[in-house]
Amino acid sequence: MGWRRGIATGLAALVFVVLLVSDIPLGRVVVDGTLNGSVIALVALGIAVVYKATGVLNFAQGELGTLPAFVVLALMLNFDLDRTVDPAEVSGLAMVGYLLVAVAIGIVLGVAINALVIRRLVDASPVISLVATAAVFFLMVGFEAVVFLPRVRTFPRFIDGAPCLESQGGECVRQLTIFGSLVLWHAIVVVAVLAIAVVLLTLLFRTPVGVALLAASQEPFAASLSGVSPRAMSMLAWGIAGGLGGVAGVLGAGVFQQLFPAMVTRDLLVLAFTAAVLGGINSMPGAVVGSILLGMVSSLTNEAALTFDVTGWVPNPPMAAAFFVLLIVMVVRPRGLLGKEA
Amino acid sequence: MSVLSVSDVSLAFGGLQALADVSLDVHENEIVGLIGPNGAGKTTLFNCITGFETPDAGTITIHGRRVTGLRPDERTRLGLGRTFQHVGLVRSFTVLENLLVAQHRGIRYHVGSGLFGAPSAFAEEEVIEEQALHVLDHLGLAHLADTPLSGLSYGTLKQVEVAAALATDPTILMLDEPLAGLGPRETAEFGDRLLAMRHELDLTIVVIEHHVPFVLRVCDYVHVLNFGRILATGEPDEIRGNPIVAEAYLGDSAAALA
Amino acid sequence: MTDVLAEPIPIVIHQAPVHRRERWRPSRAGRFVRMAVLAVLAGFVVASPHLIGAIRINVLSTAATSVIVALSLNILIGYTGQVSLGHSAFVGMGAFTAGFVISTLGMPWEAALVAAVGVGAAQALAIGLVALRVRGLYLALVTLVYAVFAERVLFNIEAITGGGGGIEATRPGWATGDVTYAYLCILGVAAVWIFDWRLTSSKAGRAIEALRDSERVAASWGINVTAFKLLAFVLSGAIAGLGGALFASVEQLIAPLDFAFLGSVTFVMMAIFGGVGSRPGVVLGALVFSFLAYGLERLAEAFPDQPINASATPLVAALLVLGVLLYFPGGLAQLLRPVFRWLSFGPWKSLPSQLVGEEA
Repeated sequence: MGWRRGIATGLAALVFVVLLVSDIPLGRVVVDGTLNGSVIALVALGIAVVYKATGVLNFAQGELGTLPAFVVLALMLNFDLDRTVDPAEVSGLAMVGYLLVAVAIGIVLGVAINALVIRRLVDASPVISLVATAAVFFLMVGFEAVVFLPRVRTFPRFIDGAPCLESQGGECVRQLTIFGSLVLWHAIVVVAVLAIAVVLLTLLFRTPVGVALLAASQEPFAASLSGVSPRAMSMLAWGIAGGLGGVAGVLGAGVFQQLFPAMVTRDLLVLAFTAAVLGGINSMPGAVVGSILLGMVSSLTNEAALTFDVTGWVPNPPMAAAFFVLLIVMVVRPRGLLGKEA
Repeated sequence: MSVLSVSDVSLAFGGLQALADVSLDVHENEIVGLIGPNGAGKTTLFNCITGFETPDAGTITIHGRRVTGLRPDERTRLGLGRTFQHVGLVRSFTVLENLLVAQHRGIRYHVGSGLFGAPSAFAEEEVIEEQALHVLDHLGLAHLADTPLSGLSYGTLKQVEVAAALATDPTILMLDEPLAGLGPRETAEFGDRLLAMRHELDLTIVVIEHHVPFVLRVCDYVHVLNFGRILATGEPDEIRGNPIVAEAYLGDSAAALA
Repeated sequence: MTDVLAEPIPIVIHQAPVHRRERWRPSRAGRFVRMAVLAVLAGFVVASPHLIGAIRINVLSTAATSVIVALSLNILIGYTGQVSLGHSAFVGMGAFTAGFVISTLGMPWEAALVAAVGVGAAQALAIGLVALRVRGLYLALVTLVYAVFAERVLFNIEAITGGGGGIEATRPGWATGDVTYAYLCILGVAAVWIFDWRLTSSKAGRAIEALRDSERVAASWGINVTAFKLLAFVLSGAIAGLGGALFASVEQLIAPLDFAFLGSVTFVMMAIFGGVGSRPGVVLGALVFSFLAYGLERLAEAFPDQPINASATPLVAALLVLGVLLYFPGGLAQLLRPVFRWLSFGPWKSLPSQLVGEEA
């Protein structure tokens, strides 16, 4: 047991040292990582909330993002699904409205899934519940594919481009960069929304309802003796996860500026799972921390791949790195950075 | 010659001292009883002996061999068989299938031979089925061989569990509350079976039980456990009249009556 | 305390065994009918490559490989109770190994098959050593991430898999025709079925199944829990590799997109729908899923005015699985239990428990 940890930690340390002494712009890595990781964090938070409160790993968390985003898209197109969205037509203010719509739809979906499927399997093993969420995932993707067709559609951002620091003659000559990394408006929005979500959740867990939710997740029997209904608590958790999902969907689609069926699952969910495990799957702060760290690992790997010129023979370095991070976490500290011993 | 030796074993769970300096010796072909109120640490002691818990201090020796660090399945291979407080059986199997699995350590053919259908594997499978039925006969359960576990009463399940433990071909049999769910007649029969088995099957037996009359009749020695400590050790007659034991079970007022 | 045992009770165990085991056996006529039905079913299977027609024969071959993968997953989910969401990677590794051996190394197809099985076992061993040490859902997560890693990284390594364009995997010289190859795949299913039967009738299979209900009890019976969990995982990976190798030569060209990680989820749903723990159930479940798209297509042709067609396949599949999870946890196997029991020379109705009373 000890030698496994030794090897894994040694490997990690070696990688760290190698990267430190090379020419990789670490500042840029941190900034890029935080910005990329924030989108993942929105998905990972949803996963952590549900897992912590109900012990269920929600494979449908990604689609709790994609589906509301599609509904929002339909609204933008006035339900004329053959058209394409012109980002210029959608104002930043309208996007705020659409974001709130997505949150609402997400909450409804989350609660519905919980009521119709998850609560009925409350006595089953966690593995069965996971398979059930996978079936729900397929249901949602199937619906998306049938209604919206497997096309890739354009999706607008809140605000395009980056903040302009200096303009000359109507053109922007200097945009906002930190450590040499271009900071887009959309990225700022994502980080801001994540911060708002974190603050709201923290406040929630100070209220009696929030405390009850935490209590029910740790000691369900004792909590029920105090009058806390496990059903109500799981509805609350899934509602929160749904809302977070809706946010992740709209913002995530904005990051990639496109939307297609199963998009959030394909591009974000697995990274979110990895981030949640890294941070501690039963810890909400862990989900955020893990996501930011994983974002940095991604940027670092990209920069390293460029510096050491391995892009020729290692495809998709960030994904490779994410997988190895997961393996190391499993071997060295399965409960994650901030997780508690199960 | 001590076949099972526990020396100064202590174990704490967080702030709770589950076992404190527990020592006992069991000799060949003895039937030893372990009694004490609920929460005294009897099952915890069993778990330490069989390898499901690791003591913080002390040593445990089986057939002269120190077993610290050995996994439960390794200790079974030294000849240790046990039953669990709540029935320990494979729920989805029939009675017979449970006994077939339980004989695992005695099966000589390799995993590969079994997978690829070597004739030696087929032959041995027939033998172990016979042996399984034989063990069931010993406990009067042969007619239930093909019954799935879900239809059986709690008491019967506990008896099946004993049969399964016997099927592991142990030299030391550790039974955790085997009488749960049995009526007076069946309790008496089981006591007789244990007494006969010790010589017929060359067994040493350690029994945790709450049924004090049974323990006093069947056992050669009795250890009384409370709050993780051995309160008293001795022959049944000594324990019967011991005021400390009465107090442990029934409180101060009962000790005055004893 | 009254001494209940004051009177000596006669010792009973020295009597000759009073009750012997009674096994239900069908009558001669019953045996004959069962064998006739089994013969008809076998005939149907043997004739299926000809019945399905030349256009869709590869659907049958692919379905057979899916059955093999479902059976491999059954060893894991049905017998040990663990879940792998990464079997698309195991299958893909088998397929690409076969492709590599055939196209890049130029070796015969038979060698490719053996290599695929070996690679499947080896990667399962590696993943299992890491993931089986931790409880519960972590195996599902690690295998899921592995599946994505395989799809996006491993299967795109150009030197081995030909990158995005894919690699060829030509059929063996003696099975180049579609019909012959379909028979080869069906033979593969039969081989896996027999192997699985051997597994469950031997000590390894019983040990593995004992792990599902209680690892403690298994350990107390001398079973090395970690070793047998790992064995189940390795067998599962090896058989999935076999499925992958056979799949590679159906269309004789494989690309990374064929092994998207979501395929793992489909395989799990197949097994759950069929009924994990039941060999015939899982086979049926895989067949239903494999022919679902085809079935919906035929439905659309027959009834052109209603909206359901092949594009609704994921929806229908999801509804089937949800139906099973919520109402028939045992899947098709639970629904068809009397049929399966009857076909294995047992009674149609389950024996009432009064017949097997508990009084000795």
